[in-house]
Amino acid sequence: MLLALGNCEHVVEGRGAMRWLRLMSLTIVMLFAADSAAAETRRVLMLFSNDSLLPVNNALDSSLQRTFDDENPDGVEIFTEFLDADRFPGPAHEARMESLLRDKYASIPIDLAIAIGPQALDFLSQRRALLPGTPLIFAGVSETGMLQRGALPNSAGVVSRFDPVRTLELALDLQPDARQVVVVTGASTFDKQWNAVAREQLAPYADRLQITYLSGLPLSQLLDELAQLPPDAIVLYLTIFEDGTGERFVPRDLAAELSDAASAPVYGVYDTYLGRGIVGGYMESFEAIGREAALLGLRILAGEPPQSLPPGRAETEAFMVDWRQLRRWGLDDARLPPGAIVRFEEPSLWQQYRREIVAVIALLLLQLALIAALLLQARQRRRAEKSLRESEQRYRNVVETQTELICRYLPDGTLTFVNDAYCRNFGRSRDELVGRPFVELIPESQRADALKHIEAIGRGRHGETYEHQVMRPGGSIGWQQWTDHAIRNAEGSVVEIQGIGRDITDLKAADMEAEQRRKEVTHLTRVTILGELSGALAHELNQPLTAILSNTQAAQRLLARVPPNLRMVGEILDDIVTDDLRAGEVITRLRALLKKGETSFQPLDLNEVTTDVLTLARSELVERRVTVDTRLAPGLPGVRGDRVQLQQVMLNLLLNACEAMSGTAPADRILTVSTALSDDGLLLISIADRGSGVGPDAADRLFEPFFTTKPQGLGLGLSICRSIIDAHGGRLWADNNADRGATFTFALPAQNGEPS
Amino acid sequence: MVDDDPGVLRALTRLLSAAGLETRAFSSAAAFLDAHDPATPGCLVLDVALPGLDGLQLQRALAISECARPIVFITGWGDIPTSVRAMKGGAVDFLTKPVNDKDLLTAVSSAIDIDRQARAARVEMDAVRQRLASLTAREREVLAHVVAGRLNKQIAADLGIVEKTIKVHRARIMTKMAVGSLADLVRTAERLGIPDARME
Repeated sequence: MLLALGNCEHVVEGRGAMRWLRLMSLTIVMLFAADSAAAETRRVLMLFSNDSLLPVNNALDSSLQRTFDDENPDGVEIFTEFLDADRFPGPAHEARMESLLRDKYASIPIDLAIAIGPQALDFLSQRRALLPGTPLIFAGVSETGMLQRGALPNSAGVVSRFDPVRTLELALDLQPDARQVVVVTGASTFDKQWNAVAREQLAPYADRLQITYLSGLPLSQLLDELAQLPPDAIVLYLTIFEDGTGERFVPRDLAAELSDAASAPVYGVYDTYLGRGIVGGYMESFEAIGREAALLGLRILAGEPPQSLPPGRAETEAFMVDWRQLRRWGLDDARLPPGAIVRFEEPSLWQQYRREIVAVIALLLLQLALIAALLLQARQRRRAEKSLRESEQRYRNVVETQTELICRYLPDGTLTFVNDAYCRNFGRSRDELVGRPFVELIPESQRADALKHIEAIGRGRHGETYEHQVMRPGGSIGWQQWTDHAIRNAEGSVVEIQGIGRDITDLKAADMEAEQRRKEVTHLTRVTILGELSGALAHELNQPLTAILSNTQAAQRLLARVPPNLRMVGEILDDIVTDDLRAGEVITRLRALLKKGETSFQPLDLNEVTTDVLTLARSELVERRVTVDTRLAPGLPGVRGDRVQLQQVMLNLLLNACEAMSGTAPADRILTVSTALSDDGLLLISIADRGSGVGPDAADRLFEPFFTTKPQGLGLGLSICRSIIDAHGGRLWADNNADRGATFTFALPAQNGEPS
Repeated sequence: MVDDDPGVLRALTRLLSAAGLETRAFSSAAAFLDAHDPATPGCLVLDVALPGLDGLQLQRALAISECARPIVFITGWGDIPTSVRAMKGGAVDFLTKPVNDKDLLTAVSSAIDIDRQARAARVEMDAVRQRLASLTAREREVLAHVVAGRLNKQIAADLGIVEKTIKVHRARIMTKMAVGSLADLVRTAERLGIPDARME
């Protein structure tokens, strides 16, 4: 029994827009259909039992029409009429409808009639004369209803069935832990029939489930019973047309009451119940009904005799559930069997306002991001400020705890900042120093240089170190070493100059003392050399003195004669002068060499210097039986050097050569002294002996200080010689000769000038 | 006069000349040797420090060649070992520069004297040797015995000659050797280095 199909207030998903769209397309199809003259349009009349606005009817209608569209390209013209039987029951209305239909379709041949719902079916089947010979399709009637009517001529249709077993299966899917099933039926005949059907159909489940049949109870009792059920029970409500007290009901109306009272989910088989509190069940699908009906219609229109078509039952049912009840009972829709239709789904806020929500969220996120970014920036700035403060503090610490002097001054030399060490160094307070030009602290003679230096820094000379004297507290002169950097502004001009300095007074003093010592040692070694030559030098002096004495005494004798040989005396006197001068020269030479003088570089003729030295050493050489072979190259360019020091070097080398040959036989004692000009413009002076040469172990260490092969030697001579030659920009080295002995050579750079 | 320093050479030469000595000057030992005539009487004034052959070497060279020319060394060095060597080598004196004229002339004159005496001695010695050479062999034989102090008798017995002959030889020896007494003969024989007959 299909009850009150038209009265159901299902909210079915059918949108007006879709209908319009479909109408449009259909119109277009019809137009095309109209154009192709060959196609013949079939006419279909659809009669609905109830009014046109019922959502059920809409669904059926749209499904029917869609199927006709899809399946029949030739086009079907559909006429739709509504009986509105629920609201206008009775023969009077029927008569009116009959009249209307007759008039309306008098001249329109209808190829197919479709009756939706039992009232429509009865209406048309009882008035076949209205549409003579027109095959009739019915839909939306129950199986049992059809059985009651018996076979109808020239008709086929789609019957509906109600399936409590499938409904129970749905319930078990949703409530797998359920152990108890309560089947609710009323007291009327029909209800009892249902009860019997249920018992029969549900019997297989009896071993698994505790099935209770509440049949024919008074409503109030029934409600109490239902209220006491455990929440995991299953209630299957079939029909109650009449309760135990004999009160009559519309079963559909009771569905809500029962559902409200029950403390367990209620399921049903009629889709009319759906939306009135039941969870759901295995129910009709109007989509499917419409589609099946349309398909049947098309077959009939194609020519198949309706009788050959058995009443379709092709899968018009489906599992249907009320979404709201699922939520009410906390049932998981994931457990729904596949294909289940969820009705009354309230689209979540999300689904309804998806776009708006997304937009809002996006906006919020953007705002959050902005806030986060601002916060981050603020934090970074704070951090930067902190680190700046820290580094400032560190700088200050460094500056203040420095033992080095730090100051800053303007390009004109006015001090803008001085650190503690600076103040201490000058013995003044900060106030006394800042604001005054720092050149005040420099001795007058050096001020100009300091100012020039500031200028140079301004012009870009950068980070140079320079030294200058300062006036220390107590009046003494100290030395400081400074490194200055220019601090520039954005335009690149010097705003301030920062200097880092160090007091190097002690360092300088030590330096100067070291220099002094060096000079003294040089002198000392020279004196030592001269000491070694002392015998020879004495001899050199002796010769002229001897000559002078003897000359004088000879002269005395000559003068005693009568007559005195004055001519000879004159000669004698000339000779005396010469000899005296000679002696003087020796003294002068000696004095020069003995002097502890400062180094003074003069232009020198190397050959002349060499000859001079040889003269000085002549007696020594003779005494040692050494023969000198001089090979002085002519036309050598001059050198710049200190005469005394170069002669010291030569004397040292000469004496060493003589020493080396002391073991050689006198005939072999040949010393070769030569001067020459090298290919690269250096002046070379070589002293070659024929001694034993330089030993391999001595070779590396020859010029080391305190290295000597002499038993009583100091070992300073050669190292001093080397440092003298180095100071002249030259080089001193020794080689062993091929045959015998060694050659000591020193090279000096030529002075740029004409050979002297 | 040998000195390598020209100034000194000239001065000393002048001095010696002014003192009346005939002086010949040389600036090197080699130059001196070239011109040296051992027959010329006189002495040598010599510097030690000479290039090439030095003073002491020259002294030795002259000694080797048995030229007994007396040497007076003058030197600028004046160290003891050199002076000792010089004196041991037979130098007359070793003077240091600057040399005083008195010292020099004293040394030179004594050197000249020594030279003269030496020459005279040599001359005399030559004469004596000639006299010896004029003896016959037998006379020489007898001389040896006589000088040994042997009696004529003994000599006659030794030589197997009659005593009388010995006497004759003896007289002849005395005459040839120009000696007046046996003692003189013995002295002369010693000078000549005639071996003693006793030493057989």
